[in-house]
Amino acid sequence: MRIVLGIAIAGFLGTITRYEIGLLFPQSTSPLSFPWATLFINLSGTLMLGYLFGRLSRLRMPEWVGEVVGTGFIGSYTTFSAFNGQLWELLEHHAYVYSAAYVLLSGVGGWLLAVAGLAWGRGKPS
Amino acid sequence: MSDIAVMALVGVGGAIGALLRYGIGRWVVKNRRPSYYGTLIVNLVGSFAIGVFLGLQFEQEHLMANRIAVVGLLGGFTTYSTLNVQKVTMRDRESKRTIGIYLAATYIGGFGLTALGVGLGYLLHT
Repeated sequence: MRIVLGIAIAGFLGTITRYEIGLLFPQSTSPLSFPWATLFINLSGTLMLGYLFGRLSRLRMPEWVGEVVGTGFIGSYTTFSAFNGQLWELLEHHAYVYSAAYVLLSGVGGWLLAVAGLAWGRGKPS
Repeated sequence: MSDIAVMALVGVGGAIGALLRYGIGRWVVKNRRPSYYGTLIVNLVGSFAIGVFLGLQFEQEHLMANRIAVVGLLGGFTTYSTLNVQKVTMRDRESKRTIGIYLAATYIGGFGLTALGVGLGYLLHT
């Protein structure tokens, strides 16, 4: 029950962090603008989650830490639905270069940041 | 509605989304399936749903409700950080083929479902 409450609170905080960061980025009315905010959120969240996973693999920590921080906060901070929604809008406006760049930066960049975050969290082999 | 009230409602949407994602994750593990099944389910369902909202022109016609339902609920429900970390950690346990199928199902399936959702939204609109 405590985990459920923790995830609800962490999900609330992760979501408003994403929402507020989204508002910090220049608001463009053009449908052709590149989705920098979501890219930044998804990549930074990936680095955070990689770090957390790396840490948890080395340290003995209660299960709720990973669930509340990882599943609750970081999971809600990042988003996959917005990625696809924005990709649709870019393609709809024939912004093919932006679309390809967005997929590559999110897909490959996400993988690289996960590798980096995991290595960072695991630290030097002792 | 004040900015703070909107932010709080976006957060509540995200908290509900996070709880649903956590619940689906638990259900998947309880049914002795690998945890990435849960990530796949939420990301596919969320990608379809955002397509429906796009097709319904929800953002243009109901800006505040769109923030709560799409930025809050769907954003909190889907996740991108977990997917990126899975790209790395799945290599320990899964075959390249399984990882390839998982990524294709997520990216191609997710975008295909967004497109399908947009089509359905257009039909339901007007």
